[in-house]
Amino acid sequence: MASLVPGIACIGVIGKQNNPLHISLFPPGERPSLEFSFMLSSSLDIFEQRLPHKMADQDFGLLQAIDERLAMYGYLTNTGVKFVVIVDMEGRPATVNDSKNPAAVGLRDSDVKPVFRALQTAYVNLLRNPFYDPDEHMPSVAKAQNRVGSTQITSQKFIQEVNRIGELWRPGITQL
Amino acid sequence: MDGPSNSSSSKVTVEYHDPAGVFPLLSAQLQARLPLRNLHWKSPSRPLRSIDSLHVELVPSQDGVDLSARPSTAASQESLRRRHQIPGLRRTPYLKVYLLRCDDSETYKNIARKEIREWIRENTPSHHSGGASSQEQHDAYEWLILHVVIPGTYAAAQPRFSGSTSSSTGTAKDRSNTTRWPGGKSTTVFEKIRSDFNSSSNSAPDRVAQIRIQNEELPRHLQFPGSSASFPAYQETPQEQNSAWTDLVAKFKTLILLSFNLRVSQYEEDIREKDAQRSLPGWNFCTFFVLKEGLAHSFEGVGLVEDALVIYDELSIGLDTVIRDKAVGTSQTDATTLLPSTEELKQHLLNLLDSDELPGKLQLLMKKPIDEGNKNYRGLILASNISIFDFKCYLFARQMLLLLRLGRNIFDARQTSRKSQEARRHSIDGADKRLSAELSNEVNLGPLAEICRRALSFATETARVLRDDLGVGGDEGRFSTDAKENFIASWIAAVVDQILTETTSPSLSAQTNRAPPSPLKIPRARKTTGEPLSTGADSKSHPARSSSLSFRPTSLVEPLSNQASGQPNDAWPKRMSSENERPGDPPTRFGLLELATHRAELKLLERRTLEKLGSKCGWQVGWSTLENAIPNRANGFHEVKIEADDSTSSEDHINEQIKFKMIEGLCHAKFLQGLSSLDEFQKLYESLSDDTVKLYQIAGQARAAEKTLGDLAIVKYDLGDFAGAASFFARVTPLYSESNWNKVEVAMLRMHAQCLKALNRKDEYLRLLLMILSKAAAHTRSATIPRGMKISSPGMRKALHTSRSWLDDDDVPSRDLLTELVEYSEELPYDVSVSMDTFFANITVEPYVVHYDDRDGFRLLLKFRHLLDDDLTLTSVSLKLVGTTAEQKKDIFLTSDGFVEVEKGIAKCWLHTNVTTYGSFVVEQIALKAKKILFIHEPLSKTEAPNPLASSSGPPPLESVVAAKRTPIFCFPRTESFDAIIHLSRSIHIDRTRSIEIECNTGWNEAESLELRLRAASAGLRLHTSNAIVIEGDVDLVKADKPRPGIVGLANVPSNVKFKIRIPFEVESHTSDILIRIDAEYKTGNGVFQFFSHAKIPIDLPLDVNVQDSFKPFALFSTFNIKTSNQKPLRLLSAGLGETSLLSVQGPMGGRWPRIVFPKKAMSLQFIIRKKSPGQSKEKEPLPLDLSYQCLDEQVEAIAQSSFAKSVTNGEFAPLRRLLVPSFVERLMHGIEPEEFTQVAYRDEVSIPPFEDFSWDEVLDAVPSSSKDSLQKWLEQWHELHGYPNRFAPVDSSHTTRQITISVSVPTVHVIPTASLAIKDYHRDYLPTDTVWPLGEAKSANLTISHTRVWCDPNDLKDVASLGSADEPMQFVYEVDANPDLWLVGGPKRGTFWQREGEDQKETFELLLIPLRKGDWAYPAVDVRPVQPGSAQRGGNQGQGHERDGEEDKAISCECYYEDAFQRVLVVPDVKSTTVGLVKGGGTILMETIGTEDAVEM
Repeated sequence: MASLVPGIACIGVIGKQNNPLHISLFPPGERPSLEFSFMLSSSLDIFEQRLPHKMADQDFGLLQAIDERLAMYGYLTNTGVKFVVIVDMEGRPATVNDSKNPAAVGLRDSDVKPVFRALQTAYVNLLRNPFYDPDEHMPSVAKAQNRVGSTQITSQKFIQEVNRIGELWRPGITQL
Repeated sequence: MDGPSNSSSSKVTVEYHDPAGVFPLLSAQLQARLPLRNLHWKSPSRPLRSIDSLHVELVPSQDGVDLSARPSTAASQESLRRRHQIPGLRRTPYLKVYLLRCDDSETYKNIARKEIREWIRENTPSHHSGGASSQEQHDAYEWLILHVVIPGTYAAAQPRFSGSTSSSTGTAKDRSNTTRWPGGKSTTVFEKIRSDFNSSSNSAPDRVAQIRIQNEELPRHLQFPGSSASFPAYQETPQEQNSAWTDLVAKFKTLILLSFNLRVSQYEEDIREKDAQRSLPGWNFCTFFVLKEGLAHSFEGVGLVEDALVIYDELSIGLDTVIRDKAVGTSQTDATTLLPSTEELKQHLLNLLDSDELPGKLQLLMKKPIDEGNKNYRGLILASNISIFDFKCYLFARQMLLLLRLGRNIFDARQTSRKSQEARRHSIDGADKRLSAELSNEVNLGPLAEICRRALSFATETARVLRDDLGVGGDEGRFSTDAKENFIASWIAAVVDQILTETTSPSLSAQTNRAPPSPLKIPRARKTTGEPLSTGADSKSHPARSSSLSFRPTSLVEPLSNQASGQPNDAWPKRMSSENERPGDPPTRFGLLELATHRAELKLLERRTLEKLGSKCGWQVGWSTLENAIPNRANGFHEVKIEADDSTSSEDHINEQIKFKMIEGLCHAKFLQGLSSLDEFQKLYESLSDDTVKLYQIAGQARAAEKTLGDLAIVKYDLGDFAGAASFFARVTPLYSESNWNKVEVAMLRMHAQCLKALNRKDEYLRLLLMILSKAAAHTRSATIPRGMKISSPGMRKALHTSRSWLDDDDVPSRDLLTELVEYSEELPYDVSVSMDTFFANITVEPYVVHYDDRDGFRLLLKFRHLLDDDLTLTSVSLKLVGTTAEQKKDIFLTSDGFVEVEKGIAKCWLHTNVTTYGSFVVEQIALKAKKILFIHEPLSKTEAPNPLASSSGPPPLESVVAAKRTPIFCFPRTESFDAIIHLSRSIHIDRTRSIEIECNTGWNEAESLELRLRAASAGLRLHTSNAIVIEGDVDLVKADKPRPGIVGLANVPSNVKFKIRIPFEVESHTSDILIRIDAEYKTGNGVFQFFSHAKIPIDLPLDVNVQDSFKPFALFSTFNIKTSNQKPLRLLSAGLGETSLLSVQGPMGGRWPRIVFPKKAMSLQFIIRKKSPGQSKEKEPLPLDLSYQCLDEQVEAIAQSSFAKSVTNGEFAPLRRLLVPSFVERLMHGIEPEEFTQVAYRDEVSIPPFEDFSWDEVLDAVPSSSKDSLQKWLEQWHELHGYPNRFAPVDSSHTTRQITISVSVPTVHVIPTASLAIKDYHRDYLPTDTVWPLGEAKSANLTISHTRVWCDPNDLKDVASLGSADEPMQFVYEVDANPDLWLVGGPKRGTFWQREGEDQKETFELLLIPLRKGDWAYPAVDVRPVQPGSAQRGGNQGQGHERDGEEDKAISCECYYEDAFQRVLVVPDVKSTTVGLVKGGGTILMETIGTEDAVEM
C-alpha cells in the first residue's frame, strides 16, 4: 500500500470583497467542490476574527483544522486578497522525492509558507498584466454593471501557475 | 509521598516537625493566613515573576507526633520507589518548620536547644555544606523554627523582646512594630533561640519566628488550668499579634522562594547540560523530558503556570522534532526509543470487537481520553517505553491542565477542600454546581479558548497517530478498517466531548442563551446546550493566581488601520456590525469570541466525524448529500432523498450488514446512540449543528454560522420540513450571492427551489429556477468569450474547456432545469417575463428585410445564442419594430411561424410580418415565449439606462445592444407589392372643399377586400371619407351599412390595378401642411396583409393671386398679379378668366405660354371685362380665374424620379425599386436649395450631386452585404452617367400640372362719375409740346361731369340711394383739389348738383387756372361723389363721399373716372429771351428779360 503523504487539496484565492477569485482542487475533479467552497468561505470568518490581533506578518498560519486530514492555512495580501490553502495530510501518494513525514507530527507553518510566497508572486504577475483589471473582479462592480455570474480569474497563466504550485508542493519544500 | 494527583502538584509543601503537638493550636490561624500572597521571585535568567497567591500544604514530617492518617496508596508507593529517578514528581517540602514549644528558658536550655540542634543537623540541606548532588539540589528546602507560646506558661508572660536589643536579622517591619519591654529583664526564650540558631551572616535569612497562642484559642483540653493565674500573661495587642503572624508569613515566603530559586537554578543547569548533549550518542529524549518536566512541575508548584506551560510547549515541539528526525533518519545518535504502536489501544479495540458490551476500561477512556491519570505516563516515559500516541496524549493532558488552571484562576483557597478534590477524583460527574457557578464569573476565557484551539489540532493530529498505531504491527487481520476508523472516530468524539466539557464557560452559556434564539426549533432535537455547566470546574482546586504574563494579545493589538494601510476595511463589515449588534449587552468578555469560535470548530469536527460514519452506510446529511448527488444526477434535477430504512426484508438485511459495519469498533456513547438509526443520526447531526450555529453566532462568524444553518436547512429538507428549510435558505443564500460565491449560491438555490416546489410556492420556485439558470447562462457566456481574451481557434477553446483543473466557480450544472422551468410555468396563472439578455447572448437581428416571392410583407432573421444545456421549445417569438421618426406611429410586429426549437448554440429564427411599409425602424422589443415564460429583450431601454460606472470602467455594453442601436432596419416594399400614395388633389377650386387623392396600386395582390384606413394626424384636420369617390380606375367603393369614419372599403380589386380615390378634407385652423396616415388592410389568397404609410402634404398654395380693378364707364379693367408664395418658381401654363352670362371678358393679347413666375417678380395679367347687356339684372356671378401651373420643384422631382426609376427598372436592382427611388428623390430634393430653383428655371438644368455627396450609406446598409457592393457600384455608375449638368427636360411632367380655379367677383359700384377738365384756349388734340403753359397765365377750364349707373343693379341702387326709381337724379358733389402752391384756382372749387344718368346729362362748371410755379405738373385733381342719402337728409352738405362709416351696404359706392387725371402741363416762365451778364470777380447778373407776349403777338 502506497503510503499517502500530505498534499495540497485546495488553493483558494479570495478577493477583497470576500468573493472567490480562484479555486483549484487537487487532484482535480476528485474533491467535493461544494464542500471546499464552504470551507473557504468559512475561513473568511477566521481571517476577520484574527485580523485585529495581527501584527505585521500577513501569514495567518493555521486557520483551522477541519478533520484529521484537512487543515486550512491562510495568508492576507496588502490589497485584501486572501490565499487559503487546504492541506490534506493524505493528499497524494508518496513519491520517491518525498521525505518520509510521519503522520504523528503535523505541518509546520514554515512548510506552507513557500506556497503563499509562490501564490503571491503568481498574483502579482497577474496584476502586472495590463489586461487584468482587478475592478472587474469585484462583485460590487459586477453588480453595478448588471453582470451575472462569477468574478473569478480566468487568466490561464495564473491558473496554470496555481496548478503548478498545488501539485509541486510537499512538506519541507522551500522553493516553489 | 503524593500519588500522581493533579491537584497535589499545584501547591507548595511545607513540612512541620511537631514534637510537642502544638500544630493543632496553630493550624486554624495559619490556614487563615494562607495562601501566601504577593510573592515576588527574581531569578537571574528570567524577568521578575509575581505570584499573587501561593497555596501551601502543611504536612507533618514522617517522624512527627501528629501522624495524620494518610492512606498510602499503591500509586504513592510506586512513586516513592521512583523518587530518585523522577525529580519532578517528588513533592518534597520547600520548607521544614520546627514547631517548638518551650515554656520557659530553663526548658529551653535543658532540652529544647539540644533537640533543635539535632533536628537541624538532620534536616540541614546539604547545599549549605556545598557539593550537594544535583538530585538533592532538585529537592532543596529551607528550615524555620517557630516558637509557639502557649498561654499560661512562663514564656507567655515574657514579651517578645526583652529590651531595646533587637535582632539584627529581624525584618524592618518586625523591628518597627515591636514594642519594647519597659522593665529590662533577662532575654526571652525567643531571643535565645534567635541568637542560637540564626546565622550571623547578614545575608542569611531569619529562620526564627514566634507565635503566641491566645488563651481563648486553646482547645479546652489543652488549656492549662489555672495557668493564667500562675503567670500573669503578657497581653499582646491585636496589632502585635498581627505583626507576629505577618512576620511568620513573610519568613515563609522568603524561605520558600529561596529554596524554589535553588531548585530552579539547579534544574536549569541540568537542562542546559542535557541539551548540550543532544548531539551526543545515546541522548534520550525521554530522559531529557523527565528532567525538563521537573522544572515545569516546580513552576507549577509555585503557581507560575505560564512558565510551566512554556516548558511543556517546548517539550511538545521537542517531541515533534524527535519524531520527525527519527522518521527522516537524520539523527543516528538519538537513543530515544518510542514504541511503534500503542498496544493497549489495539487491545481495547479487540476487546470491544469481541464482547457485546463496552469494556469498562474503554468506557472510562472514552469518557476522559485526555487525562494524565489514565496511565502511568510518567513511568512509561521514564522507562522509554511510551508510544507516540501516549506521549502526545500526556503532553496535551498536561498542557490542558495548566491552561485550565489559567482559565479558572480565581480560586479561593477557602474553597480548596480536600473533599472536592476527592470528589473530582472519583467522578467528574459529581460536580459541585454551586461552586462552579460561583467560579464562573471569574473564569478567564482566553486560556479556555486556547485549550479548544489546541485541542482541535491535537485531536486531528493525534487521530492520525492513532490510525498509524492501529495499522502497525501486522494486526490488519484482527480488525477491519471500518472498525479501525470507527474507533478513531470514537476517540475523536471523545476528545472533543471532553474538551467541550472542560472548557464550558458559564458566561458563554449565558451568551448562548442570550444569543438570538436558535432558528432550529424542532422539538425532537436533543439539545446539548443543556450540558452541565461545568463538570470539571470544582476539581480545579489549584492555587489561584492571575496571570503575570501578558497573555492577552489585546495589548499587542494595533489599530487596524495602522496595521495595514490600504487594508480594505470594507472587507470586514460583518464583523463590525456583529459587534455593534447588541449595544445593550455588557462588553463582550475577552476571549469569548475565540472560545466560541474554537468550540464551534470542535463541534464541527465532531459533526464531520459523525458525517463520515454516517456516509459509510449511505446516510448522507447536510451538503454532502447534495454534493454526492450531483454527479449522479445525469437525468437532472430530482429530489434528493435519503433512503428511509423501511419495508422489504432484503433491505433490512443490507441494512443489518451496513449497520454492523457501522458500529463495529464504535465505542463512543454519543455516537453509538447517534448511529443506532437514521433518525437518531439526524437528531445528533441536528443538535451538533444547532450548537455550532449558536456558537458561531456568538463568535460573530456569520459565514460559518450561516453555512451551518444551511446544513440544518438540508436536514430539515430531508425531514420534510420544507417551510423551515426554505426560510433558512432564503436567509443564508444572500450572504453567498453578495460576494459571488456562485457555486455555493447555486447549490443553495437548488435546494431552496426544491423546498418551494414542495411547498407549491410556484412563483418563488420559478424565480429561483430563473436565478440558477441565469448563473448557468452567465457561465456559458463567459466561457464562450472569456473576458480579456479572444479565442480564435476552436482547438484553443476546447483546451480551455477540457483542461479545467481548477474549480470553475461559474460552472453551474443546469441540465433539465430549463425544461422544468418551462413545464412548470404552465401552472402559473400569468406570464412571467424575464430579461432575455440574462439567458441568451449575442441577440442580433439582421438589419435587412427579406421579401417573399409570392406575397407582400417581409421577414427578418433573428439570431441569438442559447446558452443553456436544455433544448428549448419556444411557443412564439415576436419582435416589435418602432419607427425612428415621430410620424411613424405604427409599430410593426413580427412573429415566428409556430414553435421554434432551440438547441444550445446559435439559434436562428425567421420572423414574419404581413406589413408592407417604407421607412427606418429600430427593434424595440424581442420576446421569446416558452409556455408562460417570456424572455424579453429591449435593446433600446437597456442602453439608455444611465450607468455611471460602466462608462468609467468595465467592458463596453454587449455587442448586440450596440448593433441594435446602431443599425436601424430599413423597411421597404417589394416592387410588386401594394402601394398607396397620398397627395393633394391636383385641381383646386378655391371656393370648394379641398380634397386629397389616394393613388393606389394593387400590385400583384388580387384583393378580395381592401380597406383603406385613413387617420388624420394633424390637429383640426377632418377627412370626409364618406364622400370619397373613385376618380380613376375601374373599382367600386363598398357602401358600408354603417358609416365607418376614416375607412374606405373596396371589394374584389384585381391585381395590377391603379386607381385614385379622392377624399375631401377640411382644416379647422390654418396649417401649412397636414399629416395623414394610411393603413391599408387587404385580404388575398395568401392571407391578410397590411400596408402602412403616411404622408405629410403641404396645403399652402404655391402661388398668390391678387387683383386690381379699375372701372371705366364702358369697361372694367382687372389686373391679376400672380406671385409665388414660396421661393420656388412656378411655370404658368395658362390663365384664363371665364365669362359669365352678364359679362364678357377680353383676355390679354398674345404672349408666350408657358410663362415662368419667378419668386421676386410677380406676373400680371390684365383682363377687360365688359357688360354684355346693360340693365339686365341678374344674380351676380363671380368670374372664374383658371390657372394651370406647375411647381418647378415638383416638376424636377417628377422628372428625376421617372428618370431614375427608369434606370432602376432596367437595371439589375429592379427589385429594390421601392427602396432606391424614394431614397433618391428624397436625397435629391433635400439637396436643392429653394434659391437654386430660380437657376433651374432659367437654365433648364438640374445638377445631381455626385455619389459621394448623396449619402447613400443608409440605403446601402439596408441591403444585405452580399449585394451591397454591387449596388454601390451601380449607383456610382449611375451618378457618373447622370451627373452634372443634367438636362431638365420638361417632358412627361404633365401629371405635375396643377389646376386652380379662383372665383373673382366683380365689385359693385353704383355710380361711376366721369369728369373731364378742358382748357379752353387750346385743343385737346394739341401735340404734347403744346401743353406748355406760361407761368402765371390764367386760363379758363371747363369741368364737365357726367355719370353712369350701368355697373350696378338698379334695385340695389334704389335702396342705397333712397331713390324712387333707378333713373331719378342723384345729388353729386365735386371737388377740385389743387395744390395751392402750384395752382391758383378760380371759380367754384366745390359744388353740388343733381344729375340723371347718361352721357348727355353733362354738367359743366367753369374754372380759372393759374399755374404758380414752373415745372411739369399734373392737372388739379377732381373728385366727384354722390352725396350719401343719409348725410344729405341730415342736411349737411358737407357730404364726404368716402365717409361711409355707416352700414357698408347702405352707402353708395362710387368710383370716379377722371379723364384728365394723367394730363400734365409744362409750366414755363413767360419770357422770350434772357440776357445774363457776368460780373468781374464772379457772379452773374440778369441783364434783361423779354416776355413772350411779344412773341405771341408776333
